[in-house]
Amino acid sequence: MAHAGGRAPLTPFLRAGSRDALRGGDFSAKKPVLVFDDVQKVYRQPSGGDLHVLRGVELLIERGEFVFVTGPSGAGKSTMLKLVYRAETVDDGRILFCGRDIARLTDESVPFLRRNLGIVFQDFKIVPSWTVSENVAIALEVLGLSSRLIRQRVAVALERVGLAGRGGDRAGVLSGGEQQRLAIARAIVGEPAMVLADEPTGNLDPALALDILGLFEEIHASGTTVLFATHDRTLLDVRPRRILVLDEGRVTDVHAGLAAYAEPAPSYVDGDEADAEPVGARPPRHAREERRLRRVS
Amino acid sequence: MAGSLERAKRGLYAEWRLHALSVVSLAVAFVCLGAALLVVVNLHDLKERWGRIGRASVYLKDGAPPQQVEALVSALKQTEGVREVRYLSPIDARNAALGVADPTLKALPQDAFPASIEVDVAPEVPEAEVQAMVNKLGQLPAVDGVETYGTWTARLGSLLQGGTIAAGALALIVFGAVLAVVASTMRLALTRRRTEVEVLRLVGASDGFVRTPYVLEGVFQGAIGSATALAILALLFFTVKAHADGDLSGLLGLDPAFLPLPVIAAMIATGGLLGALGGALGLRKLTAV
Ligand SMILES: Nc1ncnc2c1ncn2[C@@H]1O[C@H](COP(=O)(O)OP(=O)(O)O)[C@@H](O)[C@H]1O
Ligand SMILES: [Mg+2]
Repeated sequence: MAHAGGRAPLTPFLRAGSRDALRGGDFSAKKPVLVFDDVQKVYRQPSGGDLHVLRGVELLIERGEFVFVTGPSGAGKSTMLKLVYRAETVDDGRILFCGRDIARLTDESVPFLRRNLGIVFQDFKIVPSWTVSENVAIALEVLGLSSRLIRQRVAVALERVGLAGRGGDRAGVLSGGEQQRLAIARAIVGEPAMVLADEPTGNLDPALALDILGLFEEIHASGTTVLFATHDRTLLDVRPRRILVLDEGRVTDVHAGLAAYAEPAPSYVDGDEADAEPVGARPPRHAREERRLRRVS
Repeated sequence: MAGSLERAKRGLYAEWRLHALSVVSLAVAFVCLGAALLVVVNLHDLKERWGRIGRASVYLKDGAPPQQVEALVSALKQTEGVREVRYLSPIDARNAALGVADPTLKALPQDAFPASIEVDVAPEVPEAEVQAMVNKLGQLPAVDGVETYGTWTARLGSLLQGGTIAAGALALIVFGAVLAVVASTMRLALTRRRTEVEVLRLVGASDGFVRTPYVLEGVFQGAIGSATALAILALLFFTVKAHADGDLSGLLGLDPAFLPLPVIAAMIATGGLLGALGGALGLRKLTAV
């Protein structure tokens, strides 16, 4: 191992589902939620030959940010997210989540990591035979919360994604867009430190895709860090956002070095002004980066 | 735990056809085991019963002087532990064996059956003491021979032993079958519920959290399977018994009984335990993360 300091924590991860742990105490406002430090990922293929997907990825995402990850199909976007929720492990380098190296977590600690993440997929991954409420509640049941508290928080989450009143329906009867809303409710109900979305609009028609993106923006506006992987250009163009372009195993940060870190901490991070929309303050994209994006699509 | 039960219930409900099929297979296996146990239990009762009946037939020599016989009867009556002494003349014996009103057998000579003294010993008297009395009686000049039920008890004992061994072997086979059925049911349920397991992993469920409902479903299957088997067996048993009426008890000298409550409880518990084991076995391949 190249990094002597990169030891897996032996103690369980953050207290599950508590954003408080991030808000106060240990984590100052500017503490990054996620850091990739020279991350290497190689897939060994059955046909022989190695596929070097990530070749020294560097990135830093701060609390309260909304970040797109984009790049051509097969660039390694899903792989990057998988490394964060530990469905895959790095071959080299470090990944710090809330200050801890998760690249070398023990298998027993992985569930604790995942309780601090909300994950949304292209194929929704909901259980069709369960009710809408049950699909959301499961994220809190693993935390061992009381059923009264679970009912309350599930109702709030369903309300936030526009599924209020649908709790008793079987999840299988929902439309595609509704199923994705349900998956988002499940992702946010535990108030995770970060929401990961892997092509969450990939199975939806363009209008619904924009709808779902809007929902992620609302979630972000209420203070949640969002990492949104997509190859869909139209989504990137909706609003100027920080965009990480993944290509040939490396990440180019479209806003890095511009104004992202010079900006004052957005007011919504700590305060009550949950609806404040900070992105307007960001400078327009650089022409060279525009070019890079064109190549992507 | 409450959540696991809830999810187990959901799983049983969602896949009820699969689980019903499994329960039926388990019930068939447990019916075999239960039937074997039923035979063993009743054989055991029979042996106990016959072993306790201290009964001896003292056959008298032809032409034994009546005074000697009378003296023997009164001496036996005064012996401690003897409950009843009855003299059976050759005619009594013939009637008892052939039935009083059978005309075709009237041709048999009057003394075709030997005279005997039937002795009933109290059940508390130990086997050895009865045996000692039998030996003494056998040496008396008027006595031709003495017969007890000892040989019958011994024969029944070896039958019981054979039955127990057979039931044990059957139990092993049944246990293996139950494990296999539950394990493969769980594997099937697991492939059908892959999304569920995937979702649980995603939201940070521990390994135990994922597995517990499946193990509980195994417990339900095993317990319900064995309970169903017992219900079927009881139905058959009491139906047959009602039809056979008194014949069966007359033949055996004992009213056949259904499995005692502790055996029933043990069978259901065993079903549950095997179900849990089978469930755990079926989840072997469920990877940790
Ligand atoms: N488990 C795996 N084993 C081998 N190769 C894989 C595996 N997962 C992904 N890959 C390969 O790695 C590359 C990146 O995949 P992925 O991260 O899914 O890309 P993206 O999400 O950007 O489309 C692809 O070429 C893919 O075929
Ligand atoms: Mg992908």
